[in-house]
Amino acid sequence: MSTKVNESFSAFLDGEATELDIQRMLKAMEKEPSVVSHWHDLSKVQAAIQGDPVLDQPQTLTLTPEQETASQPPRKRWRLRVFQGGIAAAVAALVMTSAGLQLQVASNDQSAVPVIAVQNQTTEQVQLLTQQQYEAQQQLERFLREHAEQAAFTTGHVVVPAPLQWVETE
Amino acid sequence: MFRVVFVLALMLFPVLGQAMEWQQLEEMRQAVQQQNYRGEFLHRRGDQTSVYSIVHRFEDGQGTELLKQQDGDMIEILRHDDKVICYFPAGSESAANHGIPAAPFSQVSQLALKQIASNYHAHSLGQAIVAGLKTNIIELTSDEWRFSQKLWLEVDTRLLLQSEIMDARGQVLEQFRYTRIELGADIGDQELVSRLSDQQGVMQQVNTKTAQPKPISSGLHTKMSWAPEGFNLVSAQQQMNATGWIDKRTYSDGLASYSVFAEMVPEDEDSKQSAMAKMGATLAFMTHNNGLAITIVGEIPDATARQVAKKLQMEDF
Repeated sequence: MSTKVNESFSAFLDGEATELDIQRMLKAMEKEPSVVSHWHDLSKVQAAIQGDPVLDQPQTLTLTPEQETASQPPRKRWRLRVFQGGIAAAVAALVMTSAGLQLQVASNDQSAVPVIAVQNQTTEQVQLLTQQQYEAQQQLERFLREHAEQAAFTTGHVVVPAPLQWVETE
Repeated sequence: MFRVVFVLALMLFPVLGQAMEWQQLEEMRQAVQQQNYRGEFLHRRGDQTSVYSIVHRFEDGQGTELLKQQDGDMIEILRHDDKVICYFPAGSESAANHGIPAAPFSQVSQLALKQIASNYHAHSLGQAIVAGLKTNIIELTSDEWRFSQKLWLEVDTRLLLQSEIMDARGQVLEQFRYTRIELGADIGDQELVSRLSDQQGVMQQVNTKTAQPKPISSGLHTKMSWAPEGFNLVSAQQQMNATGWIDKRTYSDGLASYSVFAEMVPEDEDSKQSAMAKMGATLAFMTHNNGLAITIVGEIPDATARQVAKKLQMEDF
């Protein structure tokens, strides 16, 4: 796994990930699914460095039928999903759920120390959602590339790849 | 009789009066492809900036060019005639998903000057210095369906040293500018070799420029009932992907273009949602309409993309 991917994940944990970082993480996840458990470890290290108590407790997450229905990613409109909060939300969901980080506040504890609880459960729903977003993102990138290359030959427009700025979702 | 001739002359005057500017456009294209030069240019889209170094040699009727990204993925592109080799340093392989970087007007084999002249007005805005060289400034303006452009052409060679694409409010969406340029340079073979070509872990991608296929006239599942005046169909094809067919059309007015991608969506996936993203002057508009998932990508204003999307529908078979 490249250092760049880890740097991207670190930026993600710091809330400073760019679209490029997110894309790099998604690619790494596709190529090497085990990377998630490595990030899991990295996130624990980061939590420890920040002084947060880390509680690594493998749990089995069982959803009630109602929760399952509510969390089922709908097949509908996935083509547009790539625009809706983008890939960042998908990775956030994946990392939070499958690497299993949960920030909890012990309400019965006077000091109210934040506790990082770790779950090793990977939900199929989140994977499916992420996969759909990834496919939509890939398709959009292909459209952009095809257009850019055609435009260079037709109108002479410059080809300089840059991140897309999301301006609107309706 | 004299009055008729006079009126006709007045009607033709705007086009005739701009002839010098149109001529400069073609000279610009030739200069970009047929001059010898080395330098460094900057490309800006909003707050995103990229810097490239370029070495270009024209010899025996063939152009050779080495383009090096000076930031980001640091990829290098070697073009020799119709062959393109792209070198991706280790860790930058994902850059292969994007278009291969190219300087403006370096890839176009012929400008559609007649079409450009009928869609744009050319104005000479005097002269200015860019990268230490004197340039003529030409402004190309048009209607609300397209953006305006400004070009800075070096006075002797007509090489493009700066260009800007602006929206209706005059806001610069995209800027290309040489920060350093040496014209008429004596360029040796060694300057046209990528330093990545013999490095370990570097991925190479080789492409060959092929002739553009003619637009297919039948077989598409959709029909377009409108295009902004002056935009002509330059490409139409059908592609297959994992979820089915995709109709792709590209329209151009000579200086700007947009591509329309459409695929059918099942009724239960239809939606009223739409979304938009921008990358400088390039827009990506995604929407659903008439049972189609439509993506429009192009160097056009929002309103143009929305109107185009509205006018796409399924073909009646």
